[in-house]
Amino acid sequence: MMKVVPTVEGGLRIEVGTATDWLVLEQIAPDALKMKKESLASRLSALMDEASEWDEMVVPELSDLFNRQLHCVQETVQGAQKASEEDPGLGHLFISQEDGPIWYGALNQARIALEGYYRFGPAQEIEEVESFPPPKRSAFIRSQFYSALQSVLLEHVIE
Amino acid sequence: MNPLEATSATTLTEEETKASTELASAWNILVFDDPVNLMEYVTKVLQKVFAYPREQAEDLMLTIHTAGKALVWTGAREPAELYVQQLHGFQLQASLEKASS
Repeated sequence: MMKVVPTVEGGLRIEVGTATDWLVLEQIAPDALKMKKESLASRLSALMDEASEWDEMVVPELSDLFNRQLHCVQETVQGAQKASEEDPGLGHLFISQEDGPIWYGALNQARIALEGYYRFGPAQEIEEVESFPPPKRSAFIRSQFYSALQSVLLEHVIE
Repeated sequence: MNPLEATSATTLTEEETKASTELASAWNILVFDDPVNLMEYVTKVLQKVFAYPREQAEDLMLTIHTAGKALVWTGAREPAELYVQQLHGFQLQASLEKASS
């Protein structure tokens, strides 16, 4: 079972127990890119009027910010996983206080994309979740995990 | 003076006037509820972007959550666009609309 523990430096340490845990962490970036048709930055831009030139002026900058968040998370997970393969005693990864908002943003992107794709809606009853087809059920469980990790980041890392 | 030049000069002035009027008008920033962003996060973002005290940010967050949207700031267009850009950077659904006079 994965454990998330606050560090004395103000970050988080995630203790990764199984191969499935690594798979879940690896899935953050692919989940965030689930809505292939339209990027998050473009979808947010749709809320603005045409006169604002948002698409030209702001969307590229936001896309860059969101991509950097995913890249950072992916790199951290891959690096930690590689280290754990070389030394099985190192089954953990660190989120520094500085990287807290980056991780939060990446997890949020993943949850927004999963919600947009599967339309989970408001809080689900357990019976309802069990009736989901397997891909939707596992996406829902990942989304719940991402949300729990975000709550820990808000409580212990992000000021 | 060439009458065409005079017309075009007049048009430009009207456009400029319109643009400066738009900039000088008051604009509202609206933030919309969504099923993903955590309530505590929305509160922290409103504190960070607008430097609102915790209580005010929390009240606005609750309005967003219960009413589906909240007017979080009113002012000139230029700073309003910068604020909305920041809100989008934090992945909140925000838009800009001209305040009714």
